[in-house]
Amino acid sequence: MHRTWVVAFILKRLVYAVPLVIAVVIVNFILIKAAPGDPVTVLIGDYPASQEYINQVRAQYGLDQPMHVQLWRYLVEIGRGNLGQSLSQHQPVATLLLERLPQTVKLTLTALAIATVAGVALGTIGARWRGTPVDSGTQGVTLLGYSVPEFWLGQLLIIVFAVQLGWLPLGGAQPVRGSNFTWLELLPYLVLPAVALSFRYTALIGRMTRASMLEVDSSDFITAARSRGLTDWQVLLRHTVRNASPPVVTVIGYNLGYILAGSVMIETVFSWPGIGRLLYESITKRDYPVMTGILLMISISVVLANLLTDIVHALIDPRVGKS
Amino acid sequence: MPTRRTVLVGALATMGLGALAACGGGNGGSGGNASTGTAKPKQVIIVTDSDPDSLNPGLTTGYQALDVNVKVYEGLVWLDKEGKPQPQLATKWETSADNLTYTFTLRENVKWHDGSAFTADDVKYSFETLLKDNARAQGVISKIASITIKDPKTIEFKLKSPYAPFLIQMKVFDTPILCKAVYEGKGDVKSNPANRAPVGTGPFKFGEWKAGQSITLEKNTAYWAQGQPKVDSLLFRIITEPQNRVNAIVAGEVDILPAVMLPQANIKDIEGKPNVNVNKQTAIPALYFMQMNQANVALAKPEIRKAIAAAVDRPRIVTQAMGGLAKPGVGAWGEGFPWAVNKDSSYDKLYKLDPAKAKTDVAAAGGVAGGLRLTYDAARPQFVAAAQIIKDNLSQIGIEVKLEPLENSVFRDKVYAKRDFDMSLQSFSSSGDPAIGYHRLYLTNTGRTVNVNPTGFANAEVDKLLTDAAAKPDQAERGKFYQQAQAIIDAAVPTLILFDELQADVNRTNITGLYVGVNPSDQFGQVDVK
Amino acid sequence: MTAPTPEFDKDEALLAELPVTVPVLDGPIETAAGAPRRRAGADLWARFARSKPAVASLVWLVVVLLIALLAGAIQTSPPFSGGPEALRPPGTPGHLLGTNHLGQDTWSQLVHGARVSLLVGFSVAAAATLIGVLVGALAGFFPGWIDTVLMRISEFFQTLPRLVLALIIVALFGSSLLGMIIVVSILSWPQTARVVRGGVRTVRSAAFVDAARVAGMPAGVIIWREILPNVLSQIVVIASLDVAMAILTEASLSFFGLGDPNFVSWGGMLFQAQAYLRSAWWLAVFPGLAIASVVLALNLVGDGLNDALNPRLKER
Repeated sequence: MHRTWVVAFILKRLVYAVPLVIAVVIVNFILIKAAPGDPVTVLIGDYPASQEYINQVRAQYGLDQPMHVQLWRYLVEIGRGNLGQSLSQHQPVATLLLERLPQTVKLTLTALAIATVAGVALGTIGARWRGTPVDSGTQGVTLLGYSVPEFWLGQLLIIVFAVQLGWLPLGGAQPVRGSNFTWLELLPYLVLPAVALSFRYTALIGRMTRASMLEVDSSDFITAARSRGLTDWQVLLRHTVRNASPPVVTVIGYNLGYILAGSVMIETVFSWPGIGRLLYESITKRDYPVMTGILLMISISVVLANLLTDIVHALIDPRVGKS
Repeated sequence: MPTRRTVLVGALATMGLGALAACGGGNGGSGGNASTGTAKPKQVIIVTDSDPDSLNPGLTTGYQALDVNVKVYEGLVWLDKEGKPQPQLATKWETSADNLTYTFTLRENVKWHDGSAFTADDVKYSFETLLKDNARAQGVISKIASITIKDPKTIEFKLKSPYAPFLIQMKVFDTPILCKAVYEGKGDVKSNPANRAPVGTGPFKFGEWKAGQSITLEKNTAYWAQGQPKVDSLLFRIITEPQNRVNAIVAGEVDILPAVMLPQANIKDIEGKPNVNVNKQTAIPALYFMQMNQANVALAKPEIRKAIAAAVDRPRIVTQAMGGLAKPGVGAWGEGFPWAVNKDSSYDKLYKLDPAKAKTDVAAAGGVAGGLRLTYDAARPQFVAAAQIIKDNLSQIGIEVKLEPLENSVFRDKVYAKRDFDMSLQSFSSSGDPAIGYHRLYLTNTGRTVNVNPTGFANAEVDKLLTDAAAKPDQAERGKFYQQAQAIIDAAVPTLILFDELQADVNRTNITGLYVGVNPSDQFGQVDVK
Repeated sequence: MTAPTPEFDKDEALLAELPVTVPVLDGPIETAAGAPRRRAGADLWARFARSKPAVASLVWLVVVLLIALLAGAIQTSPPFSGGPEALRPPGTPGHLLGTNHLGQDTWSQLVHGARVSLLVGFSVAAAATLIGVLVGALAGFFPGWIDTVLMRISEFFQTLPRLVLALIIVALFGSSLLGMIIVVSILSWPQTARVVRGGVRTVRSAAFVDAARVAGMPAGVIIWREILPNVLSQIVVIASLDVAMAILTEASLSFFGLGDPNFVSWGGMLFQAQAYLRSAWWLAVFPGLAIASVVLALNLVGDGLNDALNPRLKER
């Protein structure tokens, strides 16, 4: 019974996701078109150009067609995976994105890993020693993580660890000279950005872990286990963790949008050559196809992440599906 | 049906593995060769701030492309330290008595990077077809009446009217020679693959382009100059963040930081550091200025413009916006071309810094109701800082300034096409001669041509003086015309010259052979690493 | 937690930012206005005051508000007026917190920046709350296709990455204070809407509402008297967090150089500081501290309000 319900649920979710994605694409398109500044002037450059040349450029990029025709073409191309051509780099947007994606993934996953470990630890400690100064301490840390602007944290880390102490590099993802670096050589560059990016997420996970653990802790099930004589640690590991984890996992999944947004800021502060940095550059150059391509990519990632989290939650939450 | 626990563990494990995999995969770049065995190949690393939009100099005027292209391509001449033309692809040249005909003898045994021979056909094709739409080349190509090939190594240019800077515009920066065979008959020029893998005659040939990271140029072993190039490769490293460029040159991670890539405000972080040399030489003078739109009721009044001129603290802008790498404006032409400067008509005399007097003058002229907008390119930090200082200065004399940073293309559209602005900040390069780059500041422009005088200033006498200055070959004579024009322009001050940019190129001290010509970017065949 | 229905209640999960769920009716429900409310007011303060951090934060916020209002009086020089004393460290005579690259006084800029941050923060929260309450009430009170459409729209806005979208919109359409407020408000209302809708739905089916209906009370009065006060507590909490979020978003946008250059803002100060991290650490530290302290205070006040207004759900 449970199984068919889950399948039906997943399918329903998928169906919901499709119009959402299409809506995102259309919003993208509207944004590009509504913005001031003619992309053609960007293409032409600095000096006077003949009207003939301008018309030629316009036709080449399909900018002379009526709006609904352009929209339809846009939708079709997106469906094919063609996100257009970068105005400033004359390369397919999709290629540019795929080139920069691994760096962002590397940074985001590392930050996520740090945040999960640190957050769960903080939350567990807080829950375990609830009401004591230790609890207040961990709560304070999570609250801070929540309130501090990520990019400022990045700046601070640079000032302290790179400028004053000189322990870590000031920015970039790899040394300037040379190529084919080992994993170890690249590590120092990853440390500060990943830590800065993980802060907010650590706070989120920490809070959720603590709340969830306390919730579970006071349930009958746990009381029963305790009365059977199990020690605190045994209770914790065998029962609490398993039952407290679903909300934590869902928090991680549903807040993926925040970590992507955060990576935009962090990549800018640290000159990390990923998607976030590409977004900043494309904004500076008014490279519309790249800007909207990135918006699309991030939006779809968030939709997918939500979908996945829905599914995972449905599978692991013991309460879901019972009615 | 997997148990809840399994799914949970699986989810967490996937994340962990993903992180490890991404790290392990590494992004150290593919294709680099770890050098084994004998002498390490000599490589010079030059900093740039982003990918060029194209490596076809006929299609782009961007700095990023220029820096790469002038090492791959060549022009008929190059300019030495005094700015005099020296042979490059042309070995000698003759000018006719009426200054209308230039005959060049071309160098023999020059090969393109693909092995084919360089001939006069390439020159003619470049000028007539490949460069004709290019902004930088426009200035000189529009003056050419005809190009005739006398024989495979002799080519003749006939001009429509005498044009004093003609010879110095035959350098690679303005009119590089491209390979005809690569482009002719190969379809649309814009989509030709040579635009991303250029074929030239220069000391370096194209190696590799890793988008977003670097461009590598390899030694041209068949280069026509003996013993050049001295190094094996050049690497253009893309560092988008200005601060990181500063960090990189100080730390020795890069060898050369070109002037245009230097954030001037941070020059103090570089000067005095060990093993770093700051070379201050201004190859090509450039002016930074504030245009005042006379369509605005207040700015149409000369008294208001003069008061503004006396209120703007130019020395402070030089110190705070340019880190001292500039000279405060003195008059219509700045100081870049001393022979053209009129010492009697000088801002120091006409518009001495006097906010108190300026304030009374403004009030006497009726004040400025509603304030003025100051429009500028948001992406240029010098303008951002200068705009703030100007806002501060003008608030002291009772004029409220509203800052309007705009993106480049929107800026150009608003200021030049629509003339929807009050005051705007802009900079123009002279490109080597006032006749090339500076005339457009003051020429009458009723037709709204982009990047030409949008202030509404129109003075027939000035127009005539400038036309004469462009035609006469003798520098002293030309100078007289410029000085006369300056007197008229300074009195009306339609555009306030803020400062002359001083260029500072930075290099590590172990790099030699730099700065042999008036421009630091070319002649890299002579560069060596100690 | 209430047991979710087979139609998986995402409301709960999406409220992950708060340790709170769909509210359960609390306390004595009296249809007569008056006495319980007054008691509730004093009660509320008493409960709030139990949390020292919350009270301290409230005090700090009031201080910042005062600073913002009195900025003109407590500055040491007009924020935009610089001078030759550029990049001076804190403690330089006349410049308590140092100066920036244009000689502008950091302290003066800091106090003026408070104005922008608070203005943006509260405007956005107000606008977002208003929109959210309207949408949520409509969706909750009229189930069926209105509900579905409105909820799909709110889900759409919640999916779009807020900061990225704001960046792109402001970058495309230009940076002005008003524009920024509008953009951020439009992206902030979904959370309030969800909560209001949830609250409305729950309360709507409660017995006492049926009783009120039977007794002849018009729908509007029901909403106003019975439903809203019960979701009010949550709205207030979310609103306080909205202020915090808005301040952070404005700071982020300004940090990208997309802020309004005619106003001093903390984020803008951080943007300018980016070029001087090596030489002038104070340009980055003070504005950041300001932002962090205000946002922290808002979060603590929000938590405190949450504990005070929803005591049943407070952790034991």
